[in-house]
Amino acid sequence: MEARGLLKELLEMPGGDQILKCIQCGTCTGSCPMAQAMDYGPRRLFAMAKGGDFHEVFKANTYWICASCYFCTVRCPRGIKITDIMYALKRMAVARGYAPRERSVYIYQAFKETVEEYGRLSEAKMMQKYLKKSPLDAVKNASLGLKLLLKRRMELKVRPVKDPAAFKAMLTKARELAREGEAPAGSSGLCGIKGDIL
Amino acid sequence: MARRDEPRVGVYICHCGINISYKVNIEEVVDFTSRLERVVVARDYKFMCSNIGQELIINDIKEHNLNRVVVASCSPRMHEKTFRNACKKAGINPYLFQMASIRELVSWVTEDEREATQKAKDFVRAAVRRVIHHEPLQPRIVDINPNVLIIGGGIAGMQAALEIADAGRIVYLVEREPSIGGHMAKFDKTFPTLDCSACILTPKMVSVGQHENIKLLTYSEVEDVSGYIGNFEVKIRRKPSFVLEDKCTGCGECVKGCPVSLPNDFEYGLMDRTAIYRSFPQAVPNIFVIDKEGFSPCRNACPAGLNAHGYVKLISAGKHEEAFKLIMERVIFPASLGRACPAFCERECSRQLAGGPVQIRALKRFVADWYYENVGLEPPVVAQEKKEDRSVAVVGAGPAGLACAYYLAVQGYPVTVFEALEKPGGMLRYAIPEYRLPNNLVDKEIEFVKKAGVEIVCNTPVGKDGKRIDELFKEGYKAVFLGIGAHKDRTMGIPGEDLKGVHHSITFLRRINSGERVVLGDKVIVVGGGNSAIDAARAALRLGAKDVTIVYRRSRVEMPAFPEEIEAAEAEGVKIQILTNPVAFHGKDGNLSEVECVRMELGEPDESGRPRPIPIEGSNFKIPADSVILAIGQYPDSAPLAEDGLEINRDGTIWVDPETLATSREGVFAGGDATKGPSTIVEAIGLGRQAAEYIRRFLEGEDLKARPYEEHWLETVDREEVLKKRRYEVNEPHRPSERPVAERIKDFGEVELALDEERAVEEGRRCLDCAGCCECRQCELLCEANAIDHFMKEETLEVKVGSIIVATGFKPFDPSNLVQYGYKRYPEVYTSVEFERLNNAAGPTGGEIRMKDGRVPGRVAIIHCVGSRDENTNRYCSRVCCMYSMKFAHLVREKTGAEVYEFYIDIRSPGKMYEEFYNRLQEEGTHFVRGKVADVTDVTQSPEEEGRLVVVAEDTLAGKVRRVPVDMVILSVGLTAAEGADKVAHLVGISQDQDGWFIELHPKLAPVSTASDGVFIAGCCQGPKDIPDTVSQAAGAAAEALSLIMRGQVEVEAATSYIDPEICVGCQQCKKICMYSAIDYDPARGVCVVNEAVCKGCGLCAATCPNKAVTVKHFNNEEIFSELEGVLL
Repeated sequence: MEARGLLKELLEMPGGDQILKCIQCGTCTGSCPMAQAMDYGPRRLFAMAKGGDFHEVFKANTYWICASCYFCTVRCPRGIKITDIMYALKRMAVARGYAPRERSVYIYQAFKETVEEYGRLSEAKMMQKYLKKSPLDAVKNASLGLKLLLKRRMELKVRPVKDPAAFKAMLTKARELAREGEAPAGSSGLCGIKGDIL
Repeated sequence: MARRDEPRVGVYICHCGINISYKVNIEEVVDFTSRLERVVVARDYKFMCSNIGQELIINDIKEHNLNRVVVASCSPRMHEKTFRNACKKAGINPYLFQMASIRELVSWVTEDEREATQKAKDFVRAAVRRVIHHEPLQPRIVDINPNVLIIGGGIAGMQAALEIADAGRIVYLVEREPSIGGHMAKFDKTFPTLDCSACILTPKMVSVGQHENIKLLTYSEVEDVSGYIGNFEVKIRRKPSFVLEDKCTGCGECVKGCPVSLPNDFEYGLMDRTAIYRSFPQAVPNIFVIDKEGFSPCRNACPAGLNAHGYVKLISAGKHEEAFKLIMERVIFPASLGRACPAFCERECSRQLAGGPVQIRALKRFVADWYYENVGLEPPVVAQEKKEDRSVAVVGAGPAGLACAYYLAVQGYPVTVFEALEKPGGMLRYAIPEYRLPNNLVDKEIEFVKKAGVEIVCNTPVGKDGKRIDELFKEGYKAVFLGIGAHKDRTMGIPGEDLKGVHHSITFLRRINSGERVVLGDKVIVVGGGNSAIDAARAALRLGAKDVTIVYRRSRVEMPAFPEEIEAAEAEGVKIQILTNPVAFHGKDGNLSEVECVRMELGEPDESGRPRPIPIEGSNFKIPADSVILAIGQYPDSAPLAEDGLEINRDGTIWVDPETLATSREGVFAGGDATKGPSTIVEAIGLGRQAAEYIRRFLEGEDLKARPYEEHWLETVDREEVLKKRRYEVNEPHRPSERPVAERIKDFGEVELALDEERAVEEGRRCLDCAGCCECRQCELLCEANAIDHFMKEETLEVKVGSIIVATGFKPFDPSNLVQYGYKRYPEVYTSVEFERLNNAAGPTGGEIRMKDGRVPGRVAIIHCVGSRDENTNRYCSRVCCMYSMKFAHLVREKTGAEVYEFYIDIRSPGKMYEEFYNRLQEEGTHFVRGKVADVTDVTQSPEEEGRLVVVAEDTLAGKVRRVPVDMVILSVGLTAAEGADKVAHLVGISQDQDGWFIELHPKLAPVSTASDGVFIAGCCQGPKDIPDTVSQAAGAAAEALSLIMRGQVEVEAATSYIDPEICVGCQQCKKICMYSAIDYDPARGVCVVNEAVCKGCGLCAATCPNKAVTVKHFNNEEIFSELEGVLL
């Protein structure tokens, strides 16, 4: 897609237009506890997006690594809700099939699948799904898992919502609405609703 | 009414370049207009405001005989004046002109061209309909008072003052600080030339101070401004500086005596100063001021008005003798008070909220003991001439009587004290047990009073059974003071009260204090909850009782005894049984054996405000007891005095006027427990001293009530505020130690031990100087010029001026809330203004850039845009920070050789030689890192960072997060509106923008004028700016003011109110509502009249008048309704 179209799409997402206010001061990246692990800090990502380099933006791991600690948002001198924009960019990337082979992506997927299936989170189920995708981690974290179990910090029993089928129907409807281009209100924080490829 | 000519209207539509024509179809509007009724000509032109445009109007007026003009263009604020003048030139009254705004209200704000054109037509039609009804008005001419008021004595105010004063006009320069100079006086160097701020400023300050045309009013604030252009009336509040301006020579001797230590605001708290101070050595005027914010809480808490703050500070400075003298001005018996005073002062001490109260009572004990030991028993007073013919008789040698006697004696009045008992001292001797107050100490302090000239005669009761008051007067005494105390025990009136073993507290305490070892037995019950109950119980323990129980009828919180006393008694093993009251005493062979009690419960509050105790029926029980001591109160033995012509209250106290302490009998005064009922020593002494003053007035034939007793009294300062402003450590008081319980209950030796000198001085230093000045008056002794007046009062000065220049400056941004920068958390984080002081030769380090531990910093970070360009604080750029930050970088490198890192977002260096200065800094090797700092932290990650502050920021040009370890961080804080700017704006009638800066009349063309005629602004009060811009603006404002003065007269708006006397019924509602006091009532005609010189034409009166008698000229109903019709048609 044209870079201009992509930028327009970003600007139209909730809070997306705030990116225009960025003065490239670097407070966000300087404040980011995860910046070391990112290909690009938020500041550079915004510069690339404003400049139309979306290919690079979508390839970046920035928003996959973002821990949503909100340090950047609190400190931004322009009042930009940076964390929200991270979600927006993530949704755009996902909609276009970008999902880097990152463990954090597997976590998001495992989380989403568990919630879809049971209507709420079950840590044990989620870990089970995650470890299937990243089996090496199973070996690495075996002893930790055991300790958590022994201390009763992880519940094996799954407790689904009362009516998981109804919950699924709601999700389906939400997806339909999203496809019609009417993003359901309050969807900004919900990962993966708009372009559901996960 | 003048005959109206047939209206002939000319309408002119302006294109404003393309500003109007790009949206409005001008041709269509002209066409539409030309067909309107009464319109003779309608034309358009590219720029109506140009000379050619105006000529067009003038020619048409003459040619077509026009008598009304409408211009449709920008807005009246821009060009109403221009076109009115054009009309005037052409010979028609300027008020026969009307303007339609089709730029601000139409073309700029309407998107659709068709809509815009329609709107323009409507507005033109409205203007035409209105202008037809316009009437010629004559503008009023007012004289301009040539004096000028300047508010703010910073560089802007000084510059403007000098310009005007040099032109020969009088300037009132009002500055709220003690010295002029403003912020510039705090700076070391100025950018970009690096010339010394003081060197260029102080000559100007001196000129201002010495100029004969400048009336310098420092330490003053404008309180009220009324009037209008050319004729302002200003009220100026002159804060008391407590130093006489015309006497102070600025020698600075006074400072040497001041024991007070307060944060130095001029140095931003980087160091302390004394209460009497001068902001800086070059201050103008070069005089000292005393920082006195009120009275300290301790001082106003004392019933005797003793200045605790004063003597505590004197002790802390090692001036024990001076401290003792200060105490003696207010109370006698300091050593006794130092032991047995309930210390109301300590309860109010601000330190209550910061570790514990200053041990004021213990300090008094220390200093009294010290004086008696090191100086002796000589009263520290100057001998007065004896006033033999005015002798005074005092009845009762207790604290009240002796205080009265002492304060009369030291003034030279012969005083004789008559005491009924064997020895003087009253309750001090006979009621307070020796473990709290030893009798030999009382003897010592009575000796001290005697040395002041007081004669004491014992075993001489006065009243019915002794010496009569008449006799005293016959013997030649001119006045009598009755301080007979309250020595009579109350009785319960229940069965068995006459049994052996039933004691009454006052009698009991008197017996043991006289040295008798009263035999009580093992089990003792004390009845009552007051201090004498506690005294009796603790004394009983010391007499060998094994089991002492206090029985009280209410609950513990209602016990009137002081909490410390109750605690001490309990510590010694006294038991307390609440909600219990005796109903009978049972005995065997006339000896007490059992106390029968009843349980009580609490009911509704009684007249004392405490819940009423109600006996629970059938709850009677018996306690075996060997003795019981009833401590249920005492009352004065005043019955014998009633027969000497004194009025006695129902509770047995003597009636006195609470202010003068005069009794119902002329020349007889009374005070202490005798008038108040049982209270405290300190209250008795206070009343004794008060009586002495009123007796003095009586003896000298003065009007007793002409002046209040406390002529010098100030409000108590707010403790919370004090704790906010002072810097202090929360620490435990140095409490006096006590003898161990097991040891002390065996005898009557003192329980509490004295503080040693070292601990006393340390404890004195804990005082937070709540009031600022402690009024120890050491400065008075040191001032050879006699310039100090501690009783100075605030004054209000009224001046008349013709114009006002506001130059109130700015306030540096406070970065405390930006926690990520660690300000106030890490000692080495400074604001830029603090750094200016650190770098200033007159500052706390003498201009050496040193860290708080004295080291020279090796690496320094300067953080830009702190409190600027930030949605979380201020959105605007503060304009000066980039440049002063670079100045800092240069100075740091020059003075210390340190590596300097400038963390910036953008460098803004627009100004003459500014960019060159930036280049110079780059060449000097300053590290410029482009990135706003995210964090300043002491959490280290590498050995290099150890012991340093780490500045974390993304170097946005290198695309990398950096951690830069530094020794010192300077926050380049922005500029914010000055404190109190809103008040000043309100006073002079100018407005502030969203950030608090004053709004100029026009951002480009009238930058120093305001919407308030005759009021000008200069410097940072209008917005952040540097010194060159400030000075230019100040000179500009001065020029505006001078221009006004040179004109001598000025036209003011003719659109004022008019009250039709035919319709007015004189209800005066308009007079009440008028904000400008422009309406007067004429009682002769019974109508209200408008004073046109004062009226601003606001229209409030017109809206208020119930009879519609008021019209606002140029805004009458016809005009307004026609205009509305024109828009709405």
